[in-house]
Amino acid sequence: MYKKTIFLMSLLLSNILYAQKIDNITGLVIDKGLGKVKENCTICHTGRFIVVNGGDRAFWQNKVRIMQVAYGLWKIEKEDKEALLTYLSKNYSKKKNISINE
Amino acid sequence: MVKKSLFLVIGLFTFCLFASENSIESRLKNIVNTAFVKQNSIDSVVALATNNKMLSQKMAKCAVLIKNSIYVEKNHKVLLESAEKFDAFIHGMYHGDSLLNLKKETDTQVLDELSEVNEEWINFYTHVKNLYKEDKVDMLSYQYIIEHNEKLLKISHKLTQTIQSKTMFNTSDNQVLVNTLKFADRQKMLTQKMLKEKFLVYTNENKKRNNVKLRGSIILFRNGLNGLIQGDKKRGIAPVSNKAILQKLQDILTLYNASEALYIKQNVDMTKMKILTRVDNRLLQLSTEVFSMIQNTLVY
Repeated sequence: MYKKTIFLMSLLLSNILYAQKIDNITGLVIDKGLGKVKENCTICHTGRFIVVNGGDRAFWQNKVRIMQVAYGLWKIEKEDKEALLTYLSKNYSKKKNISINE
Repeated sequence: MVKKSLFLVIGLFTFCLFASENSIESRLKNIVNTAFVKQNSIDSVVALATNNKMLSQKMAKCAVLIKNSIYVEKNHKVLLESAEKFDAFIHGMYHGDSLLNLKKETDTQVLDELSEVNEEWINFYTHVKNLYKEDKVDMLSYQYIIEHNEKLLKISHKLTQTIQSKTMFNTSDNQVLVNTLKFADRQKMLTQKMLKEKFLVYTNENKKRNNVKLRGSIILFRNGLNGLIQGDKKRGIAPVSNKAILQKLQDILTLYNASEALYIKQNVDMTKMKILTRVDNRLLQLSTEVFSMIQNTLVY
């Protein structure tokens, strides 16, 4: 009983400690690089388009390239692009099985 | 004696009840008034921040029109007025401005992002003022405006979203309102961006790249407009039910549908470009009215 309580308590504590804070306007995880996402991505679409996607650095790099070729997204400075791709691949690395319409 | 005491007790009780009701009523009034004042202040700062995004594109558009000798005096006047408005918002955020209903900003994140905008703005404003003097276009300033207006746009957008995230509550109803306002605000900016890009294509300035940008802006404008009218789950927008807003959106749709072919068509002549200039002014005016109506409505 005692062990079980400690286990549950530590589970709860780790959840509190590692819970991701979400930006209430973009709906995206608050982390280093979010500013670059606001500058280059959510200026045209909602954060939801990022949340329902997911993949590694190459996946996001390809997405950025598509935005530039198809929708005229501007050239992004190398340093900014690094910050953007690091943020996206860190916080949205896995494809979530959810519809954008939800 | 008993009757007198009873009368006094009842009188005292009624008085206390009345006084207490008055006090509660007065406190409630104060709370409601404070909330309204605060909401008005939030609405002002959000409206002005979103307006600066549009102004970044409007200034660039005016620069392109001046360079192409289109309604030069008028566009120069609009350019300088737009720059003054952009500057007034930054100044108001730093120092407060009762006319603009802006309070002196104290949040450190907002101040950091404001400083980034201000740093970019100082040089941009200098070139705006230098662009047209003694009937001549300063090409150095023109080039600076063309190369830096998108940077001004994107950091102004980041600042807008940060201001919104600090002032708006996170509820699902509010999220729909935030998304709807975001798209209404984007429409305003896109009217200016589209015409700027159309003229850059027309004058063969970085034609290939500007054609791609123009195509993107057209898609975004069309999707945004349809989304605001019909609703768009993907973009988190509810369909419009407010009749006045719907009418205004349909006016925009009618005007845009009649002009879209001109935006898309390659190699149009100057007469058609001038028509687009007039269409653009009207699209911006209507889109600004829609934004304001959405911000002030309780039912979208």
